[in-house]
Amino acid sequence: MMITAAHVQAHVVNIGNQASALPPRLVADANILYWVFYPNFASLAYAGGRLPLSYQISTYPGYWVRAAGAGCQLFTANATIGEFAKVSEYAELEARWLTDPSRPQPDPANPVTRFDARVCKFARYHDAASLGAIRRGLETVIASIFKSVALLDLFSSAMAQHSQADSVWLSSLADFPDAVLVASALNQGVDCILSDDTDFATFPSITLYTANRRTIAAARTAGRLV
Amino acid sequence: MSEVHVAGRVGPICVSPEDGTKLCALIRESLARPEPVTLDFAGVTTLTSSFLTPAIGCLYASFTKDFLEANLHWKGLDQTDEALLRFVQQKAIFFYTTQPSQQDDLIAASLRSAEGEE
Repeated sequence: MMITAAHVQAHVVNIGNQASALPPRLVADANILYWVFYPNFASLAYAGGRLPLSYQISTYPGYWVRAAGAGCQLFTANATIGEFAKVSEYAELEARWLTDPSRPQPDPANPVTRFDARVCKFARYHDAASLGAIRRGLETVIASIFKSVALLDLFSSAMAQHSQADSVWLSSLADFPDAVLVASALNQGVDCILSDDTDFATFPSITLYTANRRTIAAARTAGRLV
Repeated sequence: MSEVHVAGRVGPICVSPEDGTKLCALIRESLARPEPVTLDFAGVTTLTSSFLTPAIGCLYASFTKDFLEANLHWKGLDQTDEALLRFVQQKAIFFYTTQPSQQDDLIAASLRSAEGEE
């Protein structure tokens, strides 16, 4: 089951449209940070002509150029940096595992061929000697993010953050980390979120800036496409 | 020695992979002559991996690490951007030293990594 018009509560902006609006302040989700800031292999495959340019590799960096060029202030939440670090570390460990001829197994009696959350946790301990170097690399990428993106302010208390995140979580179909990002943005008076994640379209009270085609189609049907 | 003023070619915001690919073609052309290249990043205000990977990472598909170390230089980067460029280089060297089938696995994993449409 994917998103349908009935699930859409946010206003949605198709950023693939060159005439699309540029808000003065915009909050970036972890997947956008991944496509813009993390040096992923898909970009190398595109540059080498092995892959067509996927919309994530092309559209989000392209919109970033437009937004930054127009003076848009870019933000993210502290928790979203955590999510970015987790996704990026997963990608680093998966790359090592995929290219290790022995593909170390958490349960050698039942070997797996696909990297997943359980193998990732195992790989962190198995490859502990390399973890420092991996994290120093990711620390570099996060430092690069902070040159362009400011962190949203903290709430007055941790409980206030939880209450507001809980409230927006209950009103949507998104997961809790997404709700924390939305609550943090709204807490600072920013209601514009840049994400490829369709879940953000299910939050009321925000405008989602996206290139995700399913989300855009559902929003158009729902009459929520701005 | 050829010097490329990146901001003059691309503008101050170096984020677009399409711009990175154009810069890569320019660098590759000089290196193939062979003529050493210096990239001057003065005036660049935003530099991200989405630009650097296609601009510089992809050179490791055509040239050896040793050749690039000797013939590709840069200036005008602060400590953070310099470290980012080094990280992009490391990732590219890793990628291009793996087997083609492993590269396919790495590409597929990259596309899966961020939550999105698929």
